[in-house]
Amino acid sequence: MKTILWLIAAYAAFVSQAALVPRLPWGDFAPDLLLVVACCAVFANAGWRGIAWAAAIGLLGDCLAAGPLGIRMGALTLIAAVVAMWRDTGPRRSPIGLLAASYPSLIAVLTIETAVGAWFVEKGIDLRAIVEFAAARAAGSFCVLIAVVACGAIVHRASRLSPWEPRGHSPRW
Amino acid sequence: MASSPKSNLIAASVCSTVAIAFAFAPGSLRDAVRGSVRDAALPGERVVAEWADRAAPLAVHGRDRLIAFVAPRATAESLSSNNSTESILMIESQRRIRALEAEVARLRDELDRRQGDEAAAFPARPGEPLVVPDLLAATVLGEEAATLWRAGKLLDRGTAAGVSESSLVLDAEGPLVDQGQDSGLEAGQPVFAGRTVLGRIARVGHWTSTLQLVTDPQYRGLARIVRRSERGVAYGPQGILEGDGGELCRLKFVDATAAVAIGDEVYTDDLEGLLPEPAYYGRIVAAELKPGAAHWEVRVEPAGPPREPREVHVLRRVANPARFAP
Repeated sequence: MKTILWLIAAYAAFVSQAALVPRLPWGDFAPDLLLVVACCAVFANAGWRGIAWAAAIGLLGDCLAAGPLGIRMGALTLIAAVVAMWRDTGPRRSPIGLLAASYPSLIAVLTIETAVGAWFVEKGIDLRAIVEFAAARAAGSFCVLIAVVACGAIVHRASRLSPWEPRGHSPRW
Repeated sequence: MASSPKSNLIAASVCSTVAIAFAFAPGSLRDAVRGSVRDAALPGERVVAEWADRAAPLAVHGRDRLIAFVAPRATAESLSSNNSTESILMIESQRRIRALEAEVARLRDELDRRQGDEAAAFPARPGEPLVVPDLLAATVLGEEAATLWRAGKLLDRGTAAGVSESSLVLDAEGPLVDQGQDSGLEAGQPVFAGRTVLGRIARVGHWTSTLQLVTDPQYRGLARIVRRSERGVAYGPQGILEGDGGELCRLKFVDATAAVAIGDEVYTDDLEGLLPEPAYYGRIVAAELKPGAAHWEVRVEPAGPPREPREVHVLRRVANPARFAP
């Protein structure tokens, strides 16, 4: 069931990234919805499952980009592995810490992806411009990620409340 | 499988190996994977695009209400980015003003010439020109359609049937328009969005062509400054407009003796009178004359359309059919 939900989330993010995000006036801060879903997948799935989801969603992101395949997949795998080892091997990490760590992770993924893509097409690499671009896109993605996490927390909290039960009544006779 | 550092390492190694294999995989495999994923997503993309189109008027209305609430005295620049009726009217009126300014400058120039030695001694009857302009409307292919076209997904009959697109067009990265050699397009033909110069045709394929925008470093075009003086709007000095690869253009070879001011408008000057009025390039946003320099260093902000254009016009030169009529 959980796997199907993640598949639906990845599909929705892919479709929205292709058809919806370019229509909205985000400017340089256009979010990358696939990265947002990848972050959520790494948060929600500990260990190798998170890494596998990150890699699969990264491959979807590669299909959406114009460059060669495998770049985002590799970058996301690398970052997800680091996050998984940091989370699983040390003391228990707080969700806030994980969320805070996602912003530099987003910048790292976007920087690696853009730099390797630029190297592949032989355009020359202006690292400062690439980092600025990655930071802007990561900021947009981070805002969407916070919104998604907040919505998820509200839904999770609501689902843990005791269900309403109708007050019983005793028969008159 | 339980989560452990070893399992994490194995998963990361496997996924990294797959990623590297994809990166160095042959182009046919990459195209097949990419095409399959995009084909699977196409129905969803259509649904989302339809919803977005339906919701667009509501979003524009909401944005207008928000702007009116936050900034009641919105500037003309901020309004020009809106899609509301008021902003569309404002953009249209700005275009009209620019067209009128160009017309005034042209008439003043003609008046000066007629008052000088170029005036004919007797009234002349205008002759039919041999070459007349012909504006061809072309649609700019969206990102998705351009990707599919370049991947060969829209035209899959293959080279054997003689229907493959030119690799010059497929390998180029610029925006694609849906007209090519079959419509008489040639490289170098100017491309307009309304009365504004968007760029020119860079590479021509059989059915599609690529655009070279005015901001492209390879773009060059003759331009003329139109400035406001005490006598009103008048033609100023000539120069060569070239892209700088960013958001601005450079106007080069403007003589140091000429008067240049920030805010002056820049129009085309190389269309050989084919169009009834010059087309608009943009506005001067910076002008500097260094000590001892022979030319001004002028930066021009290209006008361009407020949003990515869906339809552009390509200026072709065709033989005047009136001259060949029996």
